[in-house]
Formats: sequence, C-alpha cells, structure tokens
Amino acid sequence: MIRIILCDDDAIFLERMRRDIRATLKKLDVEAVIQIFTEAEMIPQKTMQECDIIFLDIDFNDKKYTGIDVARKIREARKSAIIIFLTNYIEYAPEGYEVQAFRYALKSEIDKKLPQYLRAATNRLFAEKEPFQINVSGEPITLYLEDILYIESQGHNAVIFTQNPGKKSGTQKEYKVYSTLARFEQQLSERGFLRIQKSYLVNMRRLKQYRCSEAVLDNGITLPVSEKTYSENKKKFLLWRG
Amino acid sequence: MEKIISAFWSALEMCSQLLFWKAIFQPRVQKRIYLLVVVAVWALNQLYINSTLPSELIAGLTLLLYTVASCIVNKGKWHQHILTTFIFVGFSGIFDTIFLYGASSMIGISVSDLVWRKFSYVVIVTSGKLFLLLGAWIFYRFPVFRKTQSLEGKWLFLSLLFPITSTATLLLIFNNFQDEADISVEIVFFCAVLAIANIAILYAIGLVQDSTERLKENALLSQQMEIQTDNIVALEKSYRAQRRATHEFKNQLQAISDLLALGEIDEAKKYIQTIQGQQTTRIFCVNSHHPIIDAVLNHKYQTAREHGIDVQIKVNDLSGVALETDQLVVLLSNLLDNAIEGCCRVDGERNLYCSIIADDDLLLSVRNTSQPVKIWNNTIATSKKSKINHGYGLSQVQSILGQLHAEYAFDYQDGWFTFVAEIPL
Repeated sequence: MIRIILCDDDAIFLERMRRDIRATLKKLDVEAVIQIFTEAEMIPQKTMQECDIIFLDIDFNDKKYTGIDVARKIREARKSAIIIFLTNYIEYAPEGYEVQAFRYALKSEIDKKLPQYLRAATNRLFAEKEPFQINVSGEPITLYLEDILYIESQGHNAVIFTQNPGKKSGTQKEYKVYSTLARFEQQLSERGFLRIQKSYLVNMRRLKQYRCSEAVLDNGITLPVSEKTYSENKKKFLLWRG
Repeated sequence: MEKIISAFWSALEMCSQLLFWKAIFQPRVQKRIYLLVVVAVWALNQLYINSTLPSELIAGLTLLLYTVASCIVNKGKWHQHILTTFIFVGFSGIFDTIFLYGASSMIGISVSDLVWRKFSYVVIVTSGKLFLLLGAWIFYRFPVFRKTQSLEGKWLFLSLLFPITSTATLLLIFNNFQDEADISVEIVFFCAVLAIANIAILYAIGLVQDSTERLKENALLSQQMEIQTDNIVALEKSYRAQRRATHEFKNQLQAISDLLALGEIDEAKKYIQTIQGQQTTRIFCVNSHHPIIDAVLNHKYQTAREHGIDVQIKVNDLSGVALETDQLVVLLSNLLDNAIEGCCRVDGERNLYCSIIADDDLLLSVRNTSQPVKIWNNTIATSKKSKINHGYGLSQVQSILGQLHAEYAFDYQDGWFTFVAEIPL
C-alpha cells in the first residue's frame, strides 16, 4: 500500500488526476491511498510524513508560496518522498535539484505521460523500500537497503552498520551477523553495493565520494579502498550515479 | 680478454637500445627497475652470445630477449615492441656488416681472415658499435621517427615487413659470404642502400602518420564548426521567438488593461487563464546560472522535444563552473546529440535524462533509451555515414575529458545507454 498526495489549485484537474492515477495503479497492481488538496497549507503534517509520492503544482494562483516551498516542507517531513512537479511552464533550476524533484510534467501532457512517470516512481519506491532480512543470534531482523551504510568483515562475522539517511550522528546501529562478506556481496552486488576493499562492502546510495585513497560516506565516515579494484569499481560507481 | 671485449660491445649495443627505446616509448616502470632490467638483459646476453649455438638461433634469442625486455619496461602494445626490436636489430646488423666488409675490402682480405687480426678487428667492430650509438642518439633527437609507436593495421604490417627482411638478409650475408673478399665492396654498398631504404621508409611512415593526424584534426575542427553554427542558429531562433513573445505579451497586457478599464473583470480573468494555457512551451527552460550550459541545454531540449523525446534535466547552481567555453560546448553538444540520435532509433518510449551537478566535482550524466550498443575497446561503433566529419563525437568527448583529468564510464544495459563523467573543478 502506497500513499499519494495530489496538490493543485485546480479541483477539476485534481479529480481527473485521481481517476487516472487509480486506473494506472490498478494496471500496475499497486494499492494506494490517494489524498487531494487544493491548498498546500491544508496538508496535515502526518500526511506529509507518510507520503510516498506527491504530484505537486508549482504555480499556485493567489498564494504567497510556490510548489518549491511546499516541496521543501515535504522533503523535511519525508526524505524519501518522490516529488513530481506539475506545471504549465517547465523550468529546470537549482531549486528543483535542492528538493530532489523526480520528474517535471507538463499539465498539457500529463494524460500521456502519467503511466510512464507512475511506473518509474513506483519502481523507485519499491527498490528503496526493499526489505533485507538478516539473522542476528537466531532472531530475524528486517532492514531497508537505503538505511545500510556499509558491511564490514570482522573475523567470522560480518557487521552491518546502519543509519537513517540524512542523519549525521547519533542514530548509527550495528548488527553482527555470523556470515562472510563474500556471501553478502553475492546477495547485494546487483542491488547497489560495492566491494571497495577485502573487508568492506559499501552501499552506493550512501557513498558520497570514491577516490583511489578513500571512500567517503554521506555521514562523513571514511573507509579504506583497494587500489587494485579502484578503476573497475569507480566505473561501477559512476554508472550507478548516472 | 675476448669475453671482456664482447661484454663491452654488448654494453654499447645495450646503450644504443636504451636510447632507441627512450626515443619511442614512455617508461612503464621506475628508473631503478628500468636500469635493473637493462643490466639483466645485458647479463643474459653474455650467456649465449659467445656460445657455439648457430648464429640464426643467437639472433632469434636476441630478438626475443629485447622484445620481452621492451614489453616489461616500456608502455605500448606488443606489436609495437616487436617492430622496434626488429628495426634496432636490423640497424645493428647493418652497421656491423658495413664496418666489417668495408674494412676487409680496404685491407684486401676476407672477413674470416680479418677476425684473426685481433687488434684491427676490435677497433673496427668497436667503431661500428659507436656509430650505432651515434645513430640511436640521432634517432632519439629526431622526433619524426617516433610516429612508428602508433602504427596499426596495414601500416604496421608494411613497416614490419622491411626491417624483418633486412635482418634476415643481413644474417644470410654474414653467414654465407665471410670468405668472399672480392665482393666486400658490393656487400657494403648493398648494406648502405638497405640502411638508407630503412631510414627512408621509417621517415615516410612518420610523414604519412602526420598527415593522417592532420586529416583527423581537420575533421574535428570541421565538426566543432558545425556545432558552433548549430548553436548560433539556435540562439538566433530563440532570440526571434523571444521578441515575438515580448510583442505578444505587450498586446496581451493591452487587452487585459482594456477589459479592466471596461469593468469586465470576469472576462479579464477568463482571458488570463486562456493565455496561461497557451504558453505551454518555453524558449528558455533551463536556468542553472551558467549561460553557456543553459544555452546548449535549451537548444538540445528543443531539438529533443521536436523528436518526441521526453526530456528530464537536473541541474544545481552551476555559476561556479569555470571550464573553457569550447570544451563545455563540444562536450555537452556531442553527448546530447548522441543521446538524441540514440533515442530517435527507438520505436517505443524515447527518454533522455541529463544531469549536471556541481559539488566537490562536476558530475555530468546523460542517459537515454537506446537500441543495443556495441561497446568495444572503450569505443562504440558510429552509425553516421560520413566518416570524414562524423565518428569522432565520442573520441572528442574522451579527448576533452582526458584534458580535464576527468574519470568517466559508459555502458548499455536493458535498453538504456548511460554516459557519466566526474570532472574535477
């Protein structure tokens, strides 16, 4: 079940969008709760925190705020929300990057583009929300891939370091699993993980810089890098970022 | 004593070889290891050079030893090492033959007899080796011959053919005519002609390579001009469209003002909504605060839209990007042109995602739906027909990225072609 917000000052357009989104999601076999708002200030904080995908108008008539301002609030409330801007005039600008806009859609073309954009958005959503099961001292634990920072080999164990994205300190957790790093590499290499050194498997979602001397994670942690595999790994990392 | 003299000649030959290598190749290893390998080759050379092995086998071993050593210490492909070894050994043989047969004809004895006049023989052979050293030094100082390092295909075959036949011929002469004093002058003359022909061929190959490179440069320049002209036309088009839009905007303001003056507020509202709906396409849709990047992206955005491609662009504040204008234009234009061309060959969804983000580095990424692309040896096969003006797009991008010390990668997977570059700022 996913939660979608539609926010636009045109009520008729919103109803039409809701109907089309429902029809498209039915084809994709995805269940969703769709809430519509003609004024952004009416969106409750809780709804923003739970939002998975938001279709957001950029230019609200007679309002002091723009869609970008609303997107900033959404991003604060829910880091992983997928924001799709609806607009009559597309402008790709730094503000869109700042709020990590997923797509810009022309209102005049939305009927045609909606299935494509929704498919891409749900794919992204499910990829990020993908659960990952581990076993810690006989107890099964579910982690989400986006929360994993890196996995380190320590003797006969592999230690998984996790932290919620966007938080720099205080919330890091460790899970010691009786397993080899090679086993994790086998499971995760196709899902955005990179073996940067014999003792470290890093989540590329959380990798900020990858140099021949070190790898820097988004929370500032630096890890050693193998010179031997640097060139090949760098290509993988670049293509991942692309 | 004989062994010491032989070791000295071998050392002179090794020094010549060293200069020859330095003239052609970039070193692969540190200076210390380089010298160690050279000394090792010289030492190994001593093991068999004075043995009773057939001279053909000795020559073969020398060729093998020099080639392997060249592969170890120098950068370059294996066939380039083989070519240079044959050229060197060929010239070494030519110098030896000219000096020995030249001296024997002057004295009036055969080469076999000359060998027994120890002092004369040592002086003559040493002179030959010193001349070889001088020749290697001239080669080292005269850069036109260095083009041989980049030879490929038929040029490589043609340039290998002559040194190989020369070396084989010299071996033949040396083994079969040592007792023939009366034809020494002819042999010297023949060897001199062989040497001149070898030099002339190497020089000609250098010139051909030069002219091929110039042709390539001309093609690149011509493509750059094409891109610049394209951009100027696009700018002119944008300028005209902007003027037209400004003109229309004035008329629309006038119409709204007239409606308001008449008190037709509802009509004015309706009119505003109508004209809002009409303005769905914009001439300028990218605003990264970098005029050049914006100009190229706006132009390519319009072109892509005309081909029914869904374009998504991601930029942050690029005002701090201080790359050269021509590098930026050629880089972006080529990448986006390739992406548009790739999309146009797709029957289904045509998507193009471009992202230019300045952070610690400049991350440039272009991703597009594409038919399968064959990637081989860090290049892709071009589909453009005119090879004079086209086919250099990716190599130009790679060349610019090389100049900028950027790291890059490209790949085709599941219907998508992706090119990503990380450029230091």
